[in-house]
Amino acid sequence: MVFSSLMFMFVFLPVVLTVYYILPKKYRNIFLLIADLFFYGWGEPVLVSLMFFSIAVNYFAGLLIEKNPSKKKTVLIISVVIDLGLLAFFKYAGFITDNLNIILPFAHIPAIIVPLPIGISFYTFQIMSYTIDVYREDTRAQHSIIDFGTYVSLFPQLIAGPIVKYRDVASQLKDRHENIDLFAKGVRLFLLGLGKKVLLANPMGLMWDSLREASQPGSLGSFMGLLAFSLQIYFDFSGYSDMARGLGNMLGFEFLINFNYPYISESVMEFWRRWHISLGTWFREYVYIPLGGNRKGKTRTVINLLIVWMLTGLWHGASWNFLLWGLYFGIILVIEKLFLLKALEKLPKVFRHIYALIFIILGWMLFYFSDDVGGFAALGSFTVSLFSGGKSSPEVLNTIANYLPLTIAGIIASTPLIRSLYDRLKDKKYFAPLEIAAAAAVIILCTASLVSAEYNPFLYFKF
Amino acid sequence: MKNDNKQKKNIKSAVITALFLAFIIAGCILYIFLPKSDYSPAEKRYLSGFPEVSVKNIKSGKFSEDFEKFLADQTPLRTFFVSVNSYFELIKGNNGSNGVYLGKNGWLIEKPFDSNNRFDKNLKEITDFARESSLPVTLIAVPEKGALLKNYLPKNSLQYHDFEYIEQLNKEFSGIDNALFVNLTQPFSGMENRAYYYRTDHHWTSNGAYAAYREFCRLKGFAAPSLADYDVTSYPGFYGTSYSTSCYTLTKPDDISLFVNSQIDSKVKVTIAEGKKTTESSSMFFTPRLDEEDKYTVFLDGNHTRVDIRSGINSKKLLLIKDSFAHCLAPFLAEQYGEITMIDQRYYTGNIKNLIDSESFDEVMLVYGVDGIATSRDITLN
Repeated sequence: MVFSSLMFMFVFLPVVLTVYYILPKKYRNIFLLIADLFFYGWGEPVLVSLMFFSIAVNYFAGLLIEKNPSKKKTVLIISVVIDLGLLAFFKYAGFITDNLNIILPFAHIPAIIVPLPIGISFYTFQIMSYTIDVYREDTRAQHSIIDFGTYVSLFPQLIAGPIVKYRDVASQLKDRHENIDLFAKGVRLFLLGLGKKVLLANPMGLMWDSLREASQPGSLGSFMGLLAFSLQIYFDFSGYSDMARGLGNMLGFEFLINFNYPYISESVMEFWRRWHISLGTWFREYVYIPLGGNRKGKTRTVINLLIVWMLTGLWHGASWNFLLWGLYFGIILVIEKLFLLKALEKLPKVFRHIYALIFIILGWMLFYFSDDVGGFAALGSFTVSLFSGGKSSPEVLNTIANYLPLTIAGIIASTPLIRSLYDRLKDKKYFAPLEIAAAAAVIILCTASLVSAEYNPFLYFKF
Repeated sequence: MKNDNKQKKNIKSAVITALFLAFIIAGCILYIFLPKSDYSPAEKRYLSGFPEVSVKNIKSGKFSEDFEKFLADQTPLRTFFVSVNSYFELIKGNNGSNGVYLGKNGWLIEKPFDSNNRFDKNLKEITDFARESSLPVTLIAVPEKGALLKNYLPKNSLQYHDFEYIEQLNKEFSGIDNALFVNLTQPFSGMENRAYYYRTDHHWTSNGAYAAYREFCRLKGFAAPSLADYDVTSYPGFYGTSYSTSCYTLTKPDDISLFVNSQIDSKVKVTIAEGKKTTESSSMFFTPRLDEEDKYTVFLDGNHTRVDIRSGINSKKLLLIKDSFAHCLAPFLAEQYGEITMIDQRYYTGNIKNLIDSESFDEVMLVYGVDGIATSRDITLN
């Protein structure tokens, strides 16, 4: 189930919130667990059992690690192998066999076609943070399987993050203080995220599709398309994180921030401290630092960085372009670390912004063209179109003109401008009705957009 | 002071929370209690009902999928929300996002059709048919209103190519013996052409059909009655397809005018065949249809597989293969042909040649919108 759907907004959420607040506190976690499983099972009725299995494995691993400190390493390794094994099988099996068949032309390994369980990359990383932290004694094992299950499957962040580390919410699982201010904060965040997703990301996606598929996009059309995609992916993903955090607030949870205006960065390194923060911290804490981080000399640091970034790339999808995309950022980060950052500091700020944006946006090109949408061939022809200096067709100019107001709005919304304006005005007397009106406008416009997407005049009678 | 602020904050929080919960819970309750409808007249389609609950459906995910369709189709205030979205797109500068431009003076104009490479195929189908036919064949291709009403289009609208297609049809037809193309470029070029279309519907009006009919008569050497010879009655409150597709609900409705030649209409017998059922009627104008929102079905009751119009004024038999543009043209044609058989190939599954062989027609006429010729997958004449 996705948040920006009629099913979620007008069936699941009202029912869950109503029942949740009617129930006494001690039953709320078990109710949440049931709701989570329904939420997950709605789209994946069969694969919900896979999540059950992961929950059980890691729950018992945590208990065993705590009980038998002497065997804790073995238990940890077994649980990590199972977690990563499931992820590898469901997410990467097809990719691995495809490529083995290319390398070993006579092997004829049968193609493994398994459905990709939604959110498996997210919940696998969450669940591993738990077991590893118990192993490191950074947190105590969770003795209640209900609380543990609630943590893993918590519907707000189940399918698109943020990746919430167990120790960040351990105390909230047991004891959280739902209150109206937190709830209202949650409503604001949810509506902010919904607005980002439905009112900005979705139309930006349409613009990108239309420009990408145009027969004669020209350089301008390709550039505007790529810009639209950059805005789409930011608003889509950060909107989802905002909705997740907002829903968490409504249920009394507080999750850490996941996006912090990444497009205002002055370097690629800064971008990655502002983009999908929970993933970056996860890799830092559970891969980069255990590998030795930057404490083992320059060469090892470079190697560690490249390993982490290839893995980060692959985490985003089972396709070569994602691996390359990760490597691309790995290399840029190495160069920045070695000397570029120092050199950039001498330049005026505006150049640092331009530098960072160019490499971020070019990165999205690599990110977009996975095997599903034509892979490297499509990437090649898009690159040619982007840099060839070709003219755009009137249809393309028309599309750009139609989406121009929204593109500008999107660019403004990706900076902290509106936020600082809000902070300055929020305590003013006249602002309260404005804010309420804005919230009402967002929810009505989003509902209108969702309903319209399903409005299908049957045009057989047209001709 | 601080306490005061805190209290204000609490009130604001309470209001936002209350409004949000009221909105989603009210939505939920309305979903449950509002009566469900089976059919949407605006969309001209049946709506999804509550899906079947079975272990198999739930396991395969079909239940979830169908349930979401059910929600989408049964949303309370559906037209209101779609309309809000249409106007919001307009404010954003995205006129035509729903396929229809909101033009000047309340004109709703379909965007130009996507030529999906069907034109060449359909052109060949039609010209092959005309070339091989032993009967005289006439073709009428009706341009979209956007191709004519350029002054009413919004800025930045896309190009219409209807007249290029018409030119091509004209060229191909001029080389075929016994075939006539009624080129509407000239007759439709005057200022009065805005009366040839409805503001809220993609079809032409009876005025438009009459202009085409007059041109047809001129080319054929037939005598066409003048406009004054018809009993013209106008009916207000017509919301057509452009309206229901776009949901620009603030648009004023059209008037729909019927041009009745009572000498013909009083003699006429209309037989409608739909599946195995046939119904008979004594007029080409189905006036009860005027009580509906989409009043265009007043002409020959809208889309049907086969409709026979017999006036017996002479013994000429016309086979009319068409889409819905022909519905308001046919009453005029009934002045020239004692018997007209209308076939709609979107529903008719029989072979046209066999039909021609088994019934003794004198002439064939093809009437399509230009967009139909350029995009239809149903034109099979050979």
